[in-house]
Amino acid sequence: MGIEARGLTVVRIGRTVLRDVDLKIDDGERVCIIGPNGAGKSTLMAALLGLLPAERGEVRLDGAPLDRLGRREVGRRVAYMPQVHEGHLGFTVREVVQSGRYAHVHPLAGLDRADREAVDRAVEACRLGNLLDRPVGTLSGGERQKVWLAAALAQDTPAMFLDEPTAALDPRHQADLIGIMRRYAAAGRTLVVVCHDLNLPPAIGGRVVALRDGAVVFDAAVEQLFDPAVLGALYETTFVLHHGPDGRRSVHLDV
Amino acid sequence: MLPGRTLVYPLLVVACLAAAAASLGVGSCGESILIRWGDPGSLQTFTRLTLPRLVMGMVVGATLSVAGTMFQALFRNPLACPYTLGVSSGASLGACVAILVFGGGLWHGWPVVGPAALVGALACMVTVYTIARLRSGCTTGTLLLAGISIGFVCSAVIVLLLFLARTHNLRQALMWMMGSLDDVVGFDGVLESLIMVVPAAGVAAWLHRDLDLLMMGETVAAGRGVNVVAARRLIYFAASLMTAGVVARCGPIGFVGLIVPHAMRVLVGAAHHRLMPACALAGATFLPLCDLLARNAMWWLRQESRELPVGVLTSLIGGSFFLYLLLTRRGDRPML
Repeated sequence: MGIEARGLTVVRIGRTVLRDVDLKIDDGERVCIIGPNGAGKSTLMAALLGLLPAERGEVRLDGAPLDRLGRREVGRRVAYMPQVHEGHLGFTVREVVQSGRYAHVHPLAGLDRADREAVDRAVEACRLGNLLDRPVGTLSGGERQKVWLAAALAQDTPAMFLDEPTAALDPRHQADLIGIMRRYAAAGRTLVVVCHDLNLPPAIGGRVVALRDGAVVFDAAVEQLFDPAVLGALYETTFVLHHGPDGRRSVHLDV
Repeated sequence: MLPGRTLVYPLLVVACLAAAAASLGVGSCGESILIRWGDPGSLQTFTRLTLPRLVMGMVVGATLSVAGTMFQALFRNPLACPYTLGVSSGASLGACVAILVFGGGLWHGWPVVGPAALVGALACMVTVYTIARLRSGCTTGTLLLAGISIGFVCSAVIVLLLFLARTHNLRQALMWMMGSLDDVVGFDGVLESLIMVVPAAGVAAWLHRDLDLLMMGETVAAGRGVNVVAARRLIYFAASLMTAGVVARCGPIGFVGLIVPHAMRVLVGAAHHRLMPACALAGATFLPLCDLLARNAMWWLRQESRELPVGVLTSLIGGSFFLYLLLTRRGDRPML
């Protein structure tokens, strides 16, 4: 599914957080959004979904203006996993994953066969089969993150937006989540990820959009990100780049 | 659903029927209507007083429990209850004005206290929403602050009215504010309450998935496809309307809408398609049982033919049970 923002400006509590952002994400594309703290990454993601009102500009999903689509229709087109989950943790894993079917189900009807299959696929993809009856509050941070991701997968949408999905996870859970994201994108679906970890974009592939002070300052293929001048200007610090024998590149702080 | 949870509903139905049977059988002030069933007036007493009071108790208990569940989901707050946003204070103010200013009783042959309490509750509901909407487009935070503020203002006016009132009206006003079912005569009051409760309960059923998702977080809910603003508004008005419908009739009976949702969440989990029916059954069990005790406690303890306000017992039992849950819950499980 294609997403396009034109002249998007967002003001929050008197502060302009996004300034005239133009961004076009094609159907099936993988895009990582990076930038320093406060650059407007999460705000951009929320505004692209219509979760924050735009002061100026517009967003279109598959050419349709976002503000003319109902929330339920948006929920059928884009799944979203926010950075912070502040809700009640007494729901079971099964209930949270099933909640992903909200936009597809009549309010007074139960889940039909297609809904149950979508839930089963999401549970299988995130390997949550043995946790289904556990309350989310009893799980580890990594397991919880998989549950939120499974709920987004259960929405079975042509696009998925993830806000810092691997933040605060141990390496094993990071690898698990990256694998799930890759498989999702490999099916030709649109994947947009906000991240701080600069080694996540090469793991996902595709394109990188960098924000600074609410404006897009870099928009290119992920291979072009690994330039000390680009990263240094973006984050105002110095980085060391590594080129592995298999051609993979990684980056860490020069401290 | 977890295997043990399937047994909860039949058990709740049995408990509800048992409570109803006990309530009808035990009677009031140590005197069971069954003992003098052959008396000419006993059938009339049964149909005009005993049965309507039981049905009203069940309706009020179920309604307050479901409304409490909705408010707790709306605010993602375990301490929210049907009275958090001032509906009870508005109803109490209306009732106090009717009793203390207009003398209670009848006006041109019509009872004034119930309608005045209903007007107070509805006025409070609309005022809170209007104030909250003026600020930040009616977020749950502004709704909560507006509700608490209006509640305090109503309480202050009530205290002022009580201070200025003549002594003989004070007792009637205070008794009304304690919450009681002893004014229920016939089924008219039950039907009047149900006119407000049934549509609101329909809205609750329609929005059960919205309630789940709002409890998971408003951002999550919006991402899944919930129109958060519309859902929040509908839930607020539905829960307030059903609360107003019963509070106007029986006064602010406390703690039912707080403790029953807690207890049922432990038994059936947090999903509202299971939680709300369980709360309705448990509330319809709990309040008639408390009313049974309230009708007979003074007789059993001191051989006195007067009734305790049922609100005293619901608060006493509910508060104790709340403490029990707090002290005995497993450390690895959230209380809600």
